[in-house]
Amino acid sequence: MKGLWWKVLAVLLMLYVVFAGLLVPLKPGIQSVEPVQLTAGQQQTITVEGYNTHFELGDNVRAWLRLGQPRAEGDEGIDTALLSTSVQVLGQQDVALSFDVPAYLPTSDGAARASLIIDNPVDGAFVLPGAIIIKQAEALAGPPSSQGWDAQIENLSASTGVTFPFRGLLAETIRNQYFHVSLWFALMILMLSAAVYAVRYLISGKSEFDRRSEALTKVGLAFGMLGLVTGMVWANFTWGKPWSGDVKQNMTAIALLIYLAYFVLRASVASDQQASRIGAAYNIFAFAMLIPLLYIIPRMRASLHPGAGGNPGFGGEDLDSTMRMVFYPGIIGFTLVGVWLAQLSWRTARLKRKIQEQLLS
Amino acid sequence: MKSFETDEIKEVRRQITLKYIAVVFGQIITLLGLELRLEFRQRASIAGVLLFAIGTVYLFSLAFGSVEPRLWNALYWIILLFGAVNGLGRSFSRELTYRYSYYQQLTSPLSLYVAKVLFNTLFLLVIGTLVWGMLSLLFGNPVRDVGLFVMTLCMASLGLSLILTFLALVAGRVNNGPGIVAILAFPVVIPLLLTVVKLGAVALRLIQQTSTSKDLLLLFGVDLLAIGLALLLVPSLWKEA
Repeated sequence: MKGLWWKVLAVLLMLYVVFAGLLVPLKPGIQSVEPVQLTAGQQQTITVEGYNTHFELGDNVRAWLRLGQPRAEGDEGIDTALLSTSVQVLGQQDVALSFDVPAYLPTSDGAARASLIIDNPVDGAFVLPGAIIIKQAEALAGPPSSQGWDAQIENLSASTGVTFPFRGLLAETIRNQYFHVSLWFALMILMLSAAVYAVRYLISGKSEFDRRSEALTKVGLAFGMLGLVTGMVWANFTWGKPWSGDVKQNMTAIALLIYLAYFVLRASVASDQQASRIGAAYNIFAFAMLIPLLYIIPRMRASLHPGAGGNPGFGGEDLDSTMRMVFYPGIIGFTLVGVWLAQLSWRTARLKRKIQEQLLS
Repeated sequence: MKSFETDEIKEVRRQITLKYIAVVFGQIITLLGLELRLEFRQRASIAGVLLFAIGTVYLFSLAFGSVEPRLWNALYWIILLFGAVNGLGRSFSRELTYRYSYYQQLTSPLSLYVAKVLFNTLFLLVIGTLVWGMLSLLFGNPVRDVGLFVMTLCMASLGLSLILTFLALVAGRVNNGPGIVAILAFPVVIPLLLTVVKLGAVALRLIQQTSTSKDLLLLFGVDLLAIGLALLLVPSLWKEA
């Protein structure tokens, strides 16, 4: 039973990641707003479609239009808000909000972008940044004034319960972080271990190291294909199609082809020992190609993938802390499962070898 | 230990190192000379590759009549790539026979590899120049920035030569050698080829120059990576199992 604990841990972590990753609800959010343009100086109603909201349960729904601009150093900036005059709840997901927009905007630009903030006691407060454009009516052109824009955003309710963030573009696919990204992390760990075993094989010549290297590469390649497929599922939702010839996708495909060639190469060498040595040398070569292909070239080109072209990647402050609680176990879980699979593979190879030797002797 | 190292010992050690470097360089130059002489006498691989290149270009002229610069660029690099895979894939076919591998014991595998890389780079430069001339003859010469184009050709030749010579050594041990070279080489050279095609397009003024230095740096990085890997892996690949 020794050495069993990490397999139990792997199963538990994977169960946790699958269930928590798929079942924890997203935070309430605003899916769409209609109309998206208002005119100053009029009483207007907008209808809002929420996501995971419970407008009927919380009886006190409040909404603000907030005109905000980033404050410059030493400048007061503009930070003004307008409270809705009436709120009509149409359903759990739908609400109609009326605003009495003042005649003048506090800016002299002729139009301003407003964020919509909705608060209710059940869901807490949530925001759609830059949801609505408010235009200055031409007939009422006048100096900018902040008169009427003095509502205080206060007494906001806190959201309760464990939730993942709601991001308009990602919606439910945000959960793919636990699978797609974790798989690639696990793949890097597996491929690195495979390369390390290849180096150890070339130094020592022990066939056990080569068996381990091959098994780890096998599982790593399988993870790579899963990572590519989960990435395509994600791309289908966020980029519009599963394969858009993005540089990250192309380079990933090339990296996987290089690793596929590893198995072709091994299979076409007659002698076992030669296959091991050539395979080990090629494995190190493939790993050295993997890093620039996945992490350097895509960053030098324009890519849609996070981590390139000024997009934030995962990690650091960009990742929500609830998501961290599933994401990090996901990395560990996938890595442990990968090592487990590889171990089964190399143990089978070792047994086959033993049987062969017994048959020969 | 340090205290025993008198200046005299240091001097001797320095001289031994220098001598070793001189020997390795001598080996490389001798082997390069051998390669050049053999190629000059037999003209086997250059004739094969040139025949392939001429055939392809001629077929294109028959099929298309005229070729616009975009196609010219792609055609040029694809001919160079396939020519390189054909010509360089068999780099070690002679050395890996038993008699020659006995002779090769006299030199270090690294000098042999470096000599092969140098020869193959020269080989690709010659092929590249000839194909350039041939394409210009049939379809006109659309190259506007000759300096950049020549520089790209040099970097591409060096990169292809470094990678394909290494893969030829890997595949030399294998049953279906030349077939394996193609399988191993294509994914590895695709990033190189993409960069080269882009630089070629810049040299033909097909696209605006945006990040030429970055791309050249990328090519240089690929070449450097291949050199480092070869230095590490060639000795262990050379050992007869």
